[in-house]
Formats: sequence, structure tokens, C-alpha cells
Amino acid sequence: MLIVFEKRCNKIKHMNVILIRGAMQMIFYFILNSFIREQKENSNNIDEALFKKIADGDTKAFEKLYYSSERTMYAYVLSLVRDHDKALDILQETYLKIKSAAHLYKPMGKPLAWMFTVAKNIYRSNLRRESKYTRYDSKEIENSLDFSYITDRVDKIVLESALKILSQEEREIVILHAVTGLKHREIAKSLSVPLSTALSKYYRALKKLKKYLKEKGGF
Amino acid sequence: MKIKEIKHHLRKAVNEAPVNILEDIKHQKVEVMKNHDYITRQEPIKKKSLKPIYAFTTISVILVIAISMFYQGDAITSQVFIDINPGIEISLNKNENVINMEAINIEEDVILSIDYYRKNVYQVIPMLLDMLSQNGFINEDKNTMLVSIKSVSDKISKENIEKLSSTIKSFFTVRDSSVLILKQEIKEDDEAIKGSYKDYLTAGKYTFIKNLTKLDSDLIFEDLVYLSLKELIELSKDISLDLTSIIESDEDVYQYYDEKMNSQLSLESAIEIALGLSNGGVVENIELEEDDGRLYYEIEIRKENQEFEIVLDALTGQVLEFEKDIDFEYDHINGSDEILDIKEISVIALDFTKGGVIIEIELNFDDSKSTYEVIVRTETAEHILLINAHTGEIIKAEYDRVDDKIISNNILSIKEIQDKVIELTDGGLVKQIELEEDDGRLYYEIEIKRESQEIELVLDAYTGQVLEYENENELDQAHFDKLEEILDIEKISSIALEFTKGGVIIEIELEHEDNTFIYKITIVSEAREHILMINARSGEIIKAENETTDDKFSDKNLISAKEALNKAYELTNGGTLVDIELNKDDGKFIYEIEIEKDSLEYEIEVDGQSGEIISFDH
Repeated sequence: MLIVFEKRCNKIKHMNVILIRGAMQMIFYFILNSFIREQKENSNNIDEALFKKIADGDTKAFEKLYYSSERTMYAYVLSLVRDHDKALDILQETYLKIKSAAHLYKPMGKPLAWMFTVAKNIYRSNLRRESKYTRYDSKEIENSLDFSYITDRVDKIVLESALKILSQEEREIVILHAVTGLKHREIAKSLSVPLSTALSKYYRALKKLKKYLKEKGGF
Repeated sequence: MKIKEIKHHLRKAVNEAPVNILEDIKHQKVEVMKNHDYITRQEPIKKKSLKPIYAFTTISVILVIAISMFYQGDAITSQVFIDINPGIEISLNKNENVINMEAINIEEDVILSIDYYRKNVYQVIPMLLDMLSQNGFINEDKNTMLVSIKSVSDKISKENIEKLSSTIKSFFTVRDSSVLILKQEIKEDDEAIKGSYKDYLTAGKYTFIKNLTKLDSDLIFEDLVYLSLKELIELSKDISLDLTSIIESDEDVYQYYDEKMNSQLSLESAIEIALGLSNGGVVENIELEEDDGRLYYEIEIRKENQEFEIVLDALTGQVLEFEKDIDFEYDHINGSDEILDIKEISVIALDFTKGGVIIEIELNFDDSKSTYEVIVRTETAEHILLINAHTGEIIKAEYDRVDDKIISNNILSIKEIQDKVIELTDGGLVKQIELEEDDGRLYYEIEIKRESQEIELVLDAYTGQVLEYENENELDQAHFDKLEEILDIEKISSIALEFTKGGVIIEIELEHEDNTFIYKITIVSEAREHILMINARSGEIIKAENETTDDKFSDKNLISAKEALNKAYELTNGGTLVDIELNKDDGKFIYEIEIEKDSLEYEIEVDGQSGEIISFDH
């Protein structure tokens, strides 16, 4: 396309030629750039085509989806339930649900958002089931914060503090950003919140956490 | 501990968690779901696209640069940047005349229409603001504007920025709206805008964001680039940054924002509205959110086994979303087997939306519950409601703003349509009804289920006239219809004429299709030509269509098709009718009749008015 335009430009014997050519190149690079950016944004490390393969019973595809999303999904679910064992249960349920609904998935450029939604809905429905029998008890949650597998003392304190003092939405945003390295844009997209909200919550939460760690733990 | 370190510890902690559950689930068989349930359903994407604007801006900016190169004679001594999201860059010469003006994040034609070249900047700015206001970039009540200046000397900067700010202020005062002006001097001599941000940010906003990141080292420049000015200030407010060291303003910035925030619906009244919708319950969570510059309350309410999610417009209190989640077990018990009809559903839906036109109703059968999806169009919005088909409870309501109006004066209501449907189909269940537009005419497309039949109807939305009728029998008609069993022409004529409410039969044809005898009957009535397909054995109407035509058969004292046929039968001594057709030929009306008898075919022509036999062939 560029060459054709350049040829045409040459016919016009005018000093503007250089200018226009420069402009064309800038436009070209801009389009190229935005295209690359778009591609990057959509990657999320998860290939949407995997769902179709999973629907066809492809175990390899399922494994691939699992490996590319395990840590992200765990981080997300942990931020919801604040308990390792419960997180594993929900994670397991989530992957099975995805397996049984993979053929229904409509590609919309945010596979992670769907996986998050499934996990969150499972979490909610479990919570509802539980709350029928027991009343919500914050003390119980506090007691259940047991992350004995964490070897580093500071790591453990930071995670426990985050789970303890941050609100659910703050936990989702902070843990996803810290653990998975997902960009704020991607997190906002996957959690279906405006970017500004995600950013604002993120910074506010980290300040809160920073203050808490300083006051309570002397860090 | 620094935020970076906190993040690092969090990452290490979470990464250490033993997860490996793949082996457990890899080969586990799962039941393949037929439809999305409430757990796996996908949210539709909100359409939002700014990209073309960026592209357009880039092209425009390049053009402006190209054009401005022809006017290089004017030395630029200062530059003014006005950010109100879009941003405008104005270059001035030493006489404060505008040499060049560029826009960022906005279509260039908005400012190109301003004749600014070599005009005084204090004249140009009101024109520019006016233009921005006309194009909807300036709101009635909430405006934040960043005015930045970069000059050859500090003295000029100081003087100019005050003058600029008062010019802008008076523009807003005259128009009875308020503005928060943030003032900033750009001192650094270096080319502030580098790299890819050139297309997104003015030097003013760039400097502001850079300064924010200097105030708080935890803020990351790249994160902030995409935020609007308003969002930047709200973020600063949330994390309590001291903005006075980087910008000047005549007002207390945060206080201004607090006051503006309070101008909307109070939390209490939002809760009140929400509880009214859920009919009581406990508010579990309420949040004030912003999206696209609009504020809204998100409220979660729990009531026994039900959970409500309600989204309200924070300014008007309008219900933007309503969703009700019910525990499955409970829901099943609640529902009775009866399904409400569309009349009742339309009343419930219009009550919720406070008027409007129903443009679609669809009944969906599900294992656990049947629901009606109703789309209602009001003047400004489209409501999508999900209603429990047994109880009439609204399960979910969504709201979308729309601009194009639907002109729907004098159309029949769903109630009237339901009556019409009952009359036409002998009490079938309406599965789907849609209001459609074609060539400026509105019509209802209706799908009806009755026992094993599926009927499709198209009705004129103004008159209720049947435009199309189609009956699909799901039962396999394996039996071979016997010729002796078919209805005679008299019976068929009366069925057909009853359906079309009178008219002249101009053709009856007996067809044999899929082991079934079908009468194809053409009737002209009130300038419309109807074509009906009728099951020749049961007399059931299978399909009916009609279109406008020249009526050349009415009021001509014609004998009926039956009478013409009787004349023919006199000649042939009985037989089976194959086709009878009324034609107008040289001003004469003639029935052309084909009769089959003893494997002989007869063709008879009968005068349509006198009943005389014109010709007889076999």
C-alpha cells in the first residue's frame, strides 16, 4: 500500500512529497503499533481456541489451559476465600465446570474474565449454601488463615495481612497484580471494572497494607 | 516496607502454595452442559472504542504540522495547553496571537472550524470553549480543566496564566456552570513529550502526571496515562496526595470534588430506592462507582434465600440494572406449573419500566424454571427484563441508553394482540412476539405453540391484520390422505373466506404434497390478495400470506366459485376438482375449471357473471 502511494507521490513534482511520505510512514507505524498493542492486550496468556479443543475432549488442551492459568486462578480464588484448602476446592470445581461448559464459551477476547466469573459464581453459591447453616462469622475466617506451607516468615505475614485487612475487591486487584503480573488494564477488563476504579483501589489498598505492616509488624 | 517489596512478598507467598490438582481433574468425566447456567453465563461486552479517534487524531495532527510549516514566519514565544479531556495545544507569538492550535484525543475538525490564525488568544479561547461545549466535551455541572503554560520567561508565564484562567472562568460564569481550574507552569526546557505519548497527552497533562509520580514514587506513569483528568484527581484524593505543591487553583481541589460528589443522590435515598425494588431485605454492600464519567450506586441486598444486585444512576436514581439470584432448590418449589400469558407479562413489564413500547417478548423453557425475556423501549432507553413465567417475578432487569426513537403511535398493545392471537389460533401459547419495522411499517411477528403445532403469525401492528400465517405440524403425517376423505369445495371456501373475512375466491387448486392433499386458495379482498394453504382433509390452515393488489373482482355481481363449479359438474357428471381459477379477459370474467374424472381431464370455462358455459374440452 505504501509503495503505491509513494509512486503516486513521485508524480507530483512538489516539495510536499517528502512531507507526505513522512506522514504516510507515521500513519503506517501508528497503525502497526496499535495493531501490535491490540494483540498484546488480547493475549492474557490464554488462547481462546483452547476452549473449543477442550469441548472436543482434547486432554492436552485442557492441560495447556490448566498450566497457563493455574497460578492466576489460584491467586484469584485465594483472594476470594482467604483459605488455601477452600481455594483448592473451588479451583477444582471451577476447572471441571469449565470443562463441562467449554463448548458453550463464546470468544469475546477475555477468556480470563469468564474463568473468573465461573470461579466467583461457584464461590458465591458455596457461600450461600454454607450461610444457610452457619451465620457469617468473621472470627472463623481469621482463624482459618493458616498458610503453614509458606517458608519465609515475612512472606507469610504479608499475605496474611493482605487477606485480613483488605476488602474483597481490593484483594482481587492487589493479589492479581502482584502475583500474576497482569497489567492493570487486563485486570480491570477481566474483573469488568473501569480502569480508574481498579487503579484507585489498587493504590489505596497497597497504602493501607503498607501502613498496617508498619504499625503492626514494624516492617 | 516499600510497595514493591510488599508485592514481591505477596508473589512469593502465593507462588509457594501447593496447588497441583490437575491429576485429580484431568480424566474426571464431566456432564456436558446443554446451556449456560448462572455459574457459567458470559457477560456481554460493553462496546467501547476510542481507537479510531486516536488514529484520526494522529492523521489530523500530522496534517496540522504539515500546514503549519508553511507559516513558519511566526516565532513562538509561549505555548498554552488546555486539558479538559480532550487536550488543546495553542502556540502564541510574542503579541499573544495564536499561531497554531492542535487537538489531542478529539477530532481535529472541532477546532479547525475556528478561525484562529493570528487572532488574540483571549478572543480565541472563548470560541474554542464554545466549540467544545457544542460538541459535548464540557458538561453542565462538572468540569475540571487543567491550564498549563510554557513560556520563554517565568514572568510572562505568571502573567498569562492568571489572565487565561480568568478568561476561562468568566466563560463558565456567564453560562451558569462551574469549573475547577487547575493552573500549572511548565518550566522544564526539555521537550516534555517523548515517544508514544505524543498522541495521547498534551505537554500539560504529561507534566501533571509526571509530577504526580514524583509526589508518590509508588505511582507508575504508564498506569496513569489513560486516566482522565477527573480520574487523576480522584485517585490523588483517594490516596491523599498533596496537590498544592504541583498545581495551583483558586479553590480547594478536594473540597470542590467533595461538594460535587454530594450533589447526587444520597446513600440513604439510594438504599431506599433499592429496598423498594427488592421489597425489603438487608443491604449487604453498597458502592459508588464511576464508568464513562457517569456515577452509579451498586447495591447488594439479601432477603431470605434471595440475593439482589441493583445498579442505580447516582444522579437520577434511575434503575440501570436489577438482578435477582435465587437459590435453586427454593426456586423450584415456588413455581407453579401454570405459565402466565403475555398479557399479564406485558402489564408487569410496563409497570416496572413505567411505560414504553414492548418490542419483544420471548418465552424460554428451562429445566428448573421458565422465563419470559421482555424488551421494552422507552424514549431514552431499552430495558431488557427477565421475568419468571410462573410467578411473574422480575428476576433481572438491564438498561441501555439508546438514541434512536421508535415511532410507535397508535399501534396495538400486547393485550389486543393476545386477544387476536387467541381468536386466530384457538388459544395457543405465545412463545415469542417481536415488534419489527420494515419500510417504515411496524408489524408483530408472533410464534405460537399449540399442542404439536407451531404457528408463525405476522400481524400489522396498527390494524392487527394478518399478513402472514404459517402452521407447522410437528407430527409426522405418515398417512396417505385418501381422495374420498377430502373436504369439498363448499366447506373449503367457507373456511377460507372466514379467515380472510370475506372477499372473492379467484383460484382454488388441489395439490398433493408430502402425502397430504392441500387446497391452495387465492382470495381477493379489500385490495389485498391472500394465498391460503389449507389441509384438504382437516380444513386446517397451514399457511396464509397476503399482499396488496388491484382489486378488479369486487362488486361485479360474480357468481361464486361453488356455483361455477356446479355448472361444470352438470356437464361432467361429477369428478374431482383439480383447479378453478377466475380470470378477467377482455373485460369478461371467466372461471377456468379443471376436473378429473375416470382418468379423463376436463377443461371448462364458465362466464363469471352469467354462469353460462363458454367452452368445454376433454
